[in-house]
Amino acid sequence: MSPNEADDGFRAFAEAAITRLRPLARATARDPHRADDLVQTTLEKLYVAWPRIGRTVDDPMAYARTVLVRSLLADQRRLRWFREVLVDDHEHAETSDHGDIVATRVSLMAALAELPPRQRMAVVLRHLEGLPVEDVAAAMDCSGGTVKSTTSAGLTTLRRLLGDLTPNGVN
Amino acid sequence: MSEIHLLDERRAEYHAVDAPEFTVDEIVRRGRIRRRRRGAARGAAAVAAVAVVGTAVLGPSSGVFRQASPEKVSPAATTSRPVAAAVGCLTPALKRDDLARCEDKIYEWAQLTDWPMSLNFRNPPSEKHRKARDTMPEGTFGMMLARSRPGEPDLAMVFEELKISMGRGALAGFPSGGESITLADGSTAIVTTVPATGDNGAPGGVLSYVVALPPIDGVRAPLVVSLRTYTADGYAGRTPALSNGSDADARSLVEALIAS
Repeated sequence: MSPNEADDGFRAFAEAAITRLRPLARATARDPHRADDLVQTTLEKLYVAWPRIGRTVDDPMAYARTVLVRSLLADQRRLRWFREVLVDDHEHAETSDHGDIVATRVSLMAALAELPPRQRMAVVLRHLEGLPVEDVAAAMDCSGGTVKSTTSAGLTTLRRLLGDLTPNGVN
Repeated sequence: MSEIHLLDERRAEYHAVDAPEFTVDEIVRRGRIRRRRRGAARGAAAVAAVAVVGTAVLGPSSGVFRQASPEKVSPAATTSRPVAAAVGCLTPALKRDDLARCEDKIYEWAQLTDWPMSLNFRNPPSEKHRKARDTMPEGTFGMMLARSRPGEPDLAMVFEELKISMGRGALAGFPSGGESITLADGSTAIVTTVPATGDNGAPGGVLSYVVALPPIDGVRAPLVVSLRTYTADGYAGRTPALSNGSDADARSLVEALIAS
């Protein structure tokens, strides 16, 4: 495969991966700018290794998701002292007219943001990405039992939070 | 209603994200840089180009900077540039990747000087060339190039750090004094030097260049390039002198960053 062909293959993959990875990053990184940084960094890493990935990896999207998940969890361990979260005023301004939809979405993101990082990651991968327990365990580098217990704890908290935050109590 | 059903209903919201502000072309471009650096790093000496926390970038310069509100900035600290969305490679858009497009320029600049763009031998391998923006506090982006040189006869190795950061007014602060100079493109920069003295009597310590970029939404974004020297443990308080050419290095880097 020529370098140009490899680049074309990566570009096609990256276009699809951006769409797939950004919701995951947004829901788990809390800060939208950091989430986009994470997606970009993940894809840059994949670009560097793309020739090898093309030869040896069956599912590059799953591979990319694992890189993103582990990068985020590692960052959160490393930067635990760093608690500031950027609030994008422009983003809120643009979406503030969408009424209940926005209110519901804010509730979901706000509720997810309340969870500890690993619970948030497990819940998002398992129930919003729709991955089986085995795949979540592989991405998070832990056992299936840990995924189940972590997800259960996260869902318990989410139920309480979403119940409290959903407008008009409708759920 | 079960928790799972609760989340099922929200999958549509979960997937509904706005359009990205980056492109695949940008990712490919930075991926090429990353690939090139990884190759270059294998033959490089043990010197550093590491990510640093933006506020920590300014930490060693205490006495040079103060936490000032924009209205307290001296008139000289206001750039002479017209209001623009971008200055050179800088995009003071109040986001964390304000300096993200500067990697190429910094790399090219380093290749023409004695400053290396290489590894920090104290970092674990997994952190080599990790993007600075991954560790920045929001609103600030910083990079650091580091090198060392033999000290004077009674000093251990002298370490020099050239730090590039960009923050927002209240976060980064502005110099309270210093000399106002005109850069090659007509911009105004404030230059300050901490009056530290090396063992050889030469002035040294921290040299800083600050260029106040046009305000975005009323918030000023200063570009700060500072060069700091220090020596090994056991010589605390004995700041070694800045090496010859330090001023030219800092100035040329500032000019490279803001050049169109």
